[in-house]
Amino acid sequence: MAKIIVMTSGKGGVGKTTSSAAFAVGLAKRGHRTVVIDFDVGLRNLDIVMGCERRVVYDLVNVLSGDATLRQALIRDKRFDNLSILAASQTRDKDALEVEPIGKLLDELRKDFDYIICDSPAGIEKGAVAALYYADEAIIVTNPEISSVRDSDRILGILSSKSRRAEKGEEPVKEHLLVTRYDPHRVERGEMLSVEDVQEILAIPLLGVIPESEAVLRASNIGQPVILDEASAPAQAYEDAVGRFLGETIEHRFVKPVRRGFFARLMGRTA
Amino acid sequence: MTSNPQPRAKGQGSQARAASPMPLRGASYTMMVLRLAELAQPDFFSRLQAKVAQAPSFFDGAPILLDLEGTAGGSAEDFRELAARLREMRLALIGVQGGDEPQHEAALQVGLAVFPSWRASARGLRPLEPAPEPRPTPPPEPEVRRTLLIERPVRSGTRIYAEGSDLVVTAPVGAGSELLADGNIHVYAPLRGRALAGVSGDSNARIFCRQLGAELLSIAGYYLVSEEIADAYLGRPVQVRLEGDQLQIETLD
Repeated sequence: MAKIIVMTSGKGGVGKTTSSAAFAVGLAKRGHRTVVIDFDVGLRNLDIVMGCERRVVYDLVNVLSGDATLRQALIRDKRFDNLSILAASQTRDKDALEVEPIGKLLDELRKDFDYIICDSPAGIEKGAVAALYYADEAIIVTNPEISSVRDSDRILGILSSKSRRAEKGEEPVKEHLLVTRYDPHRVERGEMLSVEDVQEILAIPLLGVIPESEAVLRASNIGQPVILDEASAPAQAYEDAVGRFLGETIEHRFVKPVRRGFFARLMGRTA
Repeated sequence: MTSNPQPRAKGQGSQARAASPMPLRGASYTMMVLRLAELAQPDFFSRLQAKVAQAPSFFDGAPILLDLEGTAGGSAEDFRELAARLREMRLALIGVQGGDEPQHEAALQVGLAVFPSWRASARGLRPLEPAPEPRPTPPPEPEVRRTLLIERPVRSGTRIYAEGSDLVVTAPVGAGSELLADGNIHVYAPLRGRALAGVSGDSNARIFCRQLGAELLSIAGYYLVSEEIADAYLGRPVQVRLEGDQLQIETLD
């Protein structure tokens, strides 16, 4: 049975799209048929991060309003043939999203895919609710910073009251915490919340910690999801997170500050 | 342990409350609601009369609220006539709820109150049924409601109201959420949101929590914001009660 995963946060700019792309590739790499959908109607950027922005003909709103079929709108990823992308519309706005047509769309997608990732827009209004409505599982992307944590708490409240599972009284959406842009050195200096602080406030299971890194910007610039930059720390952290999502037990890396040796400091090397 | 980066000042109470308190308190009552939409049926008044006859002393002088939901129109004269007909059965029409502005205006003109339609009760409205009366009944006792128990984290943006009872929460209460209770509030976990006890005027209500980090504490309308809570109490298990017009905080350990 296909699983619908929503990548959400409440707060903007914390790494939902980066994480959606990373997870989509991570799952596809492991052999699962995956589709990732951009729900940020009007401000689309999943296509940029996935590197397919020059191949978008039809988008989510076209499919929902019947102007195009799914087959016409889905973009096959060039690197993995079990991975597809459904871009958002750039010209419409979120009012074009209605719950029933989205349900039908997801039913169709369920036939051909194992995992459906919904990249949510920021906020708690129509677009964000549309993205989370049909979710089976939710990954709450949170920066280790008080506003982001507050907004994540809010979106958790919305998940437990406005999702379809909540409305029908079914088993609740399974929640996962993904801490992004983590810098253990700043945590040590007391400038940043620690993973434990975030977990204490949000009280949901920790899926992964993705370290702050320049690799994310580089990846977005070249349209290659950061998980494919295998030497980089975020790539490894995302791989771990995908593994944990699929049930593996993997120790959390990148949560402790790295002690650089004398020579490493001399040569300007990072670990 | 949690970061709550707001500046904190010592001392309690706010200057504004140094003046003597206004003797107007909140109170909550349960009362019967008549749905106007149902009045459209021709045998309505005879059915109502029959119901009243089942328990005359229960209904004698009972306050009635008219629910205007799903209806439109109605002049001041209409409301006056309806009140008169209800008065014949010794029922007192005292107000309306729901409906639109013109209806409210008409109702006000004949001296009916306009009640807010706000349904904050965590359990919603319940239909009121008197017991059938072969024997003389004493006036109905105020209902004693079971404490409202919340076991899942209270997320930011959530509001919980324990109407007519205490509230117990055994999971963290997030910043940006609100707990309200007519009775006491107990939080056996960190309290980071707002807690308002005795909201209907019970000044004996108290607030208990395992880890104080509240944005606002209030009992029977008197309140303290986070900044006014002394540092010594933050992060500690405390109880809060009202003495006169000042909130007093004591640690529990």
